[in-house]
Amino acid sequence: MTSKPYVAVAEGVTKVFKNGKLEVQALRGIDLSIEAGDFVALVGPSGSGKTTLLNLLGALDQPTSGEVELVGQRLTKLGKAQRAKLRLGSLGFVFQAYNLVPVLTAAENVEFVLELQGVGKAQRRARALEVLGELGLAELADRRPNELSGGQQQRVAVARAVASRPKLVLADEPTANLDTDNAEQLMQAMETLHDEHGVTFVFSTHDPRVVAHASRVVRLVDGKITSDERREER
Amino acid sequence: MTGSVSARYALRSLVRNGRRTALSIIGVAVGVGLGLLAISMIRGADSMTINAAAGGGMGHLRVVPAGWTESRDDDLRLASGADALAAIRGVEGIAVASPRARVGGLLGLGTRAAHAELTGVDPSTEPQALRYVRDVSAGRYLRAGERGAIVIGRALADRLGAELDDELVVTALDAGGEMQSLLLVVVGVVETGSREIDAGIAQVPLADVEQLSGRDGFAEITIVVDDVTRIDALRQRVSGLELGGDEVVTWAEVAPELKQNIDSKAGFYNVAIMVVLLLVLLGVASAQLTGVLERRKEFAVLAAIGMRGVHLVRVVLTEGVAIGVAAAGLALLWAGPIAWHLAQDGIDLRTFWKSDEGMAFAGVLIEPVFYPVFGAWLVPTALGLSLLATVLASLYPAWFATKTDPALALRVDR
Repeated sequence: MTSKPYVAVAEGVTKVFKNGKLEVQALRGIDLSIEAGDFVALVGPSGSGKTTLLNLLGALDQPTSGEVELVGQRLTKLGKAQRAKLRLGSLGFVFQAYNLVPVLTAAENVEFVLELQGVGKAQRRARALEVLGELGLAELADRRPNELSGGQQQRVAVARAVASRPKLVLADEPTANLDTDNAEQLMQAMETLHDEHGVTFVFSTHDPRVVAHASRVVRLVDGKITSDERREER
Repeated sequence: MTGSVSARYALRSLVRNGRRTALSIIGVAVGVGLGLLAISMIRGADSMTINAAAGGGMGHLRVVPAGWTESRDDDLRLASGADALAAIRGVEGIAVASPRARVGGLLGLGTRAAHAELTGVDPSTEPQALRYVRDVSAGRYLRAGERGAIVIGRALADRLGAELDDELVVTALDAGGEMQSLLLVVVGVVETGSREIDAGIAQVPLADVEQLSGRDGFAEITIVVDDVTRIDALRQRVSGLELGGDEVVTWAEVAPELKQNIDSKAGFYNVAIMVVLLLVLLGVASAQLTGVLERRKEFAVLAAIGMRGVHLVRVVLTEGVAIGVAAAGLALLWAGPIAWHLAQDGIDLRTFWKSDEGMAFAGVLIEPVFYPVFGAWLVPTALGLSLLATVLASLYPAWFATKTDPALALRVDR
């Protein structure tokens, strides 16, 4: 497995969930390589395995078989604490339901990840304000999530995901809870971060308007990749 | 710590569910406050018992001849004498140092006789060392330089049928085995309220015991200190004086049964305090665990973005510490004034002890009123008890938080 040009590689990955005697085959032999600078949309119907694949690419779960390699490290060889360290140092997450910490302000939510990385108080504050500013949220830095709209919360979540300059940002249906305008704003913000800072994004979605922003579209059906298409123009 | 985002997260999470937090704080504060009052009373009672024992003739410290601790032989005499006594009296923090010597003899009056242990004393200092003879109920106390006089307890006087000015004949064996006799005039009768103690009081001038026993010098120097908390320090000071091989022992070594009684009481009360704290701890643990369960989704997100178990533990423990500090403050607020009030007014044991007879234990007349101890120690004790309960209570919820599976929690969320 050559990992140098890739931030994430899945090779022959399967995932089986067991519920009593019932077994559900969520992924069936996935081979996928994410290159640095990719802007990838994972597309497929509900139950196709998008979230399961994101969980594996995000080191949140282990495959049943096959190998997942993230920034040069094989997941199967990492313990729980090492996977947490890998996520903290190399990955960013954007969740469908925003999942900001409700008792912290927008800036504090962004700072939290930096604090976990051991960044000093002044530095992390400055970095949080810088990223929020890039996403048009500078004036909302001291507001708590319940004082922000859904679109604003999701942009704060993106700011949190990219503040530590991760090698890969994974977004699970980031626009699912947003109206069209907010979804468009969010995708443009992600595109800007990708274009200007080279942030690698992998996001799952159902929405064709969101897919239109991707430079690469990977289609999943019943746990298998049915197509992997690169686009010259978005 | 408040500068860190994780600390702010912990503290604001407590505020988020203010009612549960307030109930936890109140619960801990009630338990800790009860613990403080119990400790205050135990310390007061112990202090009273020790002082009662010291004032009952035992002293806080005692200089004894080498070998006395093992043999308890009252015929032994100190190697040191008047010079050492003067040096001890000059030590700062010593209220009184009174020399004594004892001899066993037979007291007789007419056809009546009773065995008694005569204590030879220095009349100028003994009333400060033995509170029972401070107020003589009939007659007077011994005078400095006086010879042939005796002060006895009421029970002994009744046994002999003795009154003031009666002449008692005392017969004793001296160091050479010869019979020695003296005439002693009853100059005073002491009535302590305890017949057990009255039966043992028979004080004469030190020179008369020297004559009867045929042994010169002191058998002991009984020392009463100003501050019981300085007993050990003063023991070191006195031991450092030129004592010619004599030993300095504490009241606990003189009366180990009394020490054992105090220790066993303390053990019982400590267990009672721990039981209260355990109940508090379980309540707090339950509330903390509920808080963790309610935030599983949050913890899952935090774990997903890279928060390690140790950070999650720190967050939950910070919450425990915050509850502990607040509860300690509240405990001091309600229990502190009560402890102060009790320390000022005391607790009258006669309310519970319905008897005209004085309360005596192991030859010590217990004071009817004792004063719980109040002081700055309440603050660290409140903090210590409170933090012990809340931090221990937070350990299981903290461990449980680390078990949050980020992938599972996010899947449930969907």
